[in-house]
Order: sequence, then structure tokens, then C-alpha cells
Amino acid sequence: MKDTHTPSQPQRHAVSRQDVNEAIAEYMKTLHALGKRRNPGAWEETAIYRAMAQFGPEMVKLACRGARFEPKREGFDPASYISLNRILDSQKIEWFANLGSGEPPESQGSEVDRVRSESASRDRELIQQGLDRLRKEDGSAQ
Amino acid sequence: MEVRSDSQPPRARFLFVNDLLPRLKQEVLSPPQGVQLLSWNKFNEYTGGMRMHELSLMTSDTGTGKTTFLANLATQVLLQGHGIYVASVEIGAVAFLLAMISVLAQKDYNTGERFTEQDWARIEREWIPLLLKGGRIVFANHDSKVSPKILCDEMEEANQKWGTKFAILDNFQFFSTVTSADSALMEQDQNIRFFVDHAKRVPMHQFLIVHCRKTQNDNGRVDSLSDMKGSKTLADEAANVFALNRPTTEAIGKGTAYSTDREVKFLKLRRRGKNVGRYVRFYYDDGLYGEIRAEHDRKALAAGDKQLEIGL
Repeated sequence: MKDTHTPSQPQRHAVSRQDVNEAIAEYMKTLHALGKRRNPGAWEETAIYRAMAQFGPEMVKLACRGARFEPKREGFDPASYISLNRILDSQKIEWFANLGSGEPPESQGSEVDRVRSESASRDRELIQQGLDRLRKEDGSAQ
Repeated sequence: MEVRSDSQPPRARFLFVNDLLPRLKQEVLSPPQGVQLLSWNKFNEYTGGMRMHELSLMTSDTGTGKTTFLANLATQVLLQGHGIYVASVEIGAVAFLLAMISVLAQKDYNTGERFTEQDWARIEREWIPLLLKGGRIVFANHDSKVSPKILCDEMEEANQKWGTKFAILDNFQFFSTVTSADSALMEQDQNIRFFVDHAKRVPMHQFLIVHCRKTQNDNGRVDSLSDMKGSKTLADEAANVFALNRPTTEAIGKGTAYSTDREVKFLKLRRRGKNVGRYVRFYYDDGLYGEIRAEHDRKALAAGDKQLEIGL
């Protein structure tokens, strides 16, 4: 006989490792875009996994992406404001996911990333050349 | 008639063009080249490089990242094959060395977090031998206030022994011994003249850090020479004055700059004065400060970052 008294459980979504990795990658891009040069920690991975099970993997991935397109108010310093708990908050996650589902409102964000990344590659190459030159000098002097 | 009391031979009272010809020829055929920084092209272009016999000042708000910036500057000079003398009195030699290794390794070891034995093994294997080479980098052994005379003597010795061409002195407020505010300005004037005289005598470039006043400017930015702490003589006597600033809140808000970016504004340049008021913007990535290329400047300008107009 069917049990009609047990309250219905909230729907649990299936979450794969790849889903978590994709969301982590989006969250990391958001952190970097907003000036926080760090990688997500283990607790953040767990929080993302739990949120995915609750809201669904796609919703969490889009929210992690959408957070970097949040409109900024005057005097707003994103680096001191961004937080995973805020993105995954049940009241806000849908709003962030909507931001992440469309085209970014300001397309410079990704452009800024691209140019920095190119500059960094060139700088690293030059630094490597400088190091090689010094090592060569050291080697020939010995 | 002027009577000279010192033992040096009397100098000619006037010089004719013929007297100047040898030096003029040298100036024309092989003009003195400043130390060029390895990958900071725009910085080189605006300043003409870090010339010998010059004193440069850098000022910025507390916590802007002067030490990390200086470590980057030192690394840029080092990788061009020049020796460096570092008097990092404020934060100490170890912290400065760690910041330099972070730039070389392109991994920020200066975060306060604990790294693994493998990290240390890599530092010891790859970076220490490079820095150990005789006189390539020498540190002043002072951890509290020290007189400019001692530092100048040490710089001269490093220059003679190892050919050190570049000195980083952090910071000017630590090279003063006075306690009374009345005599502070007078002593600062004397001290800065000490460094200037030394710069004229010894073929080195001295890079001296000076604190700034607490300003009400946006994001603690230093915009003019008057924002610098201390007497006016500091700016008068130095060849170049740079300000290290955070981006404006407007640029951060618009997404055209990250809060970790930094700008070097040229407040005074002895040789290339036309570039005064301009600045170079740097990105920060794992201990490394790199110039943001002109291409990005144009895009940022198109996106409405008015602040960049003067920098182009």
C-alpha cells in the first residue's frame, strides 16, 4: 500500500564529477575576473556539489558564471564582495543563473582576461629567456 | 679673487667649446644608456631606462603593494644581468627575497600559507644558485633605523666590488634618526642631499621609497608631488618621482580594471618630462606584475575608461 503520510522529499539531482569540475572552472573564472587571484578550496567544491544536488547542475554552473556579470554599483569593490555562499543562496541563485544564461551585459570582462592572459604569456616567455641567459652565463663562467 | 682652500687643482673658470668636444663626441656617439627593464617596455619608453647617477623616488598608499612591485622591479633588473643592492629595512631581507623568488618561480610564495618540502626543494634547486652568484644581489644587514651615510658607503662598496648598478632603498622614513617633529624636515633635507650627492659620485641608480600623506583621494591614490610625505626638497632633488596606485573605483566598477591591477604614474621625470602625468598600468598574477599592453588600453578607452586618456 502506498504511504501517503510521509512528507515528500525535495527532488535530488544526479551530479557527476564533470558537472562539479565545470562549475568550479566557472567559479574560478569569476574569482579571477573580480580580482581574486586564488583557486577555489575544498569546502567550496563540497558546497557546489551540495548545491548541485539541490538545484541541479546546470543552475549552479550558470550561477557561478553569472556572478561575474552582476551589475556593479558605485564604490563597489568586487574583490571584497564575491562569496560562494551568496551565489548559492536559495533566494539569489536563480537570479545569478539568469545573469549567466545570456550574453554577458559587459563583454569587456572576457576581453580583459584575454589580453591579460596574452600579456602574461609574453612576460613569462621574456622572464624565461632572461633566466636562460643568466644560467648560460653562470655555466660558461664556471 | 677667489681663494681655494682645498688641495684639489683649481678648476677652469670657463669652458670653451673645444674643452667640451671629447665629452660631446662621446655623448653623441655613445649616449649613456639607462638600465632597461626586461619586459616593462612602456616603462622603459616613458623613462628612458634607469640611468646611472640618478635618484628615483616612489611613493604610494600603505598596502598598495610596494614591496611586491619592488621585488618585480629588482627581478627585471637582475634578469638583464645587473647586480642589485637591497636595503629592505622595513620588511626585512627574507621577505624581499621571497617576493623575488615568487616572481622568478611565478608562484606567489608570499601568501603566508605553508608550502610543501617539494616547493622548498624547487626553490633551492632552481632559484637559489641563480641568486647566489657573487654579488648578483646583496642585502643590507640592517633591521632598524640606519643612517644614510652607512647606506651610501655600502652602496659604493657594492658598486666597486661587484659592479652593482641598482639600489633599492625601502624606505626613506627608516633612514632618519630624529624624534622631534621640529627637526624632522631639516634632517630629511640633509638626508636626501646625502643620497643625491652619492648618486652624482657613484655610477648607480638609487630607487628610494617614500611614504605618502593620508589623502582623501579615490582609493588612496597619489596624484601629485604634494601628496608625498616630508619636505618639498625630496621631490626637488630627485631625478624621477613615481606614484604606485590602485585603479580608480570607477575603472573597477566598469570592469575595465581589476582591483589587483596597479598603475605607476610619472610625477616627475628629469629626462623625458613630456611623459609626466602619464602612467603605465600593470596586471598582477601570482607574484608577477606585468604591463598591460596598449591594445587593452585602447579597448578600455573605447569602453569609457576616461582615466586612460592621459596615459595614451
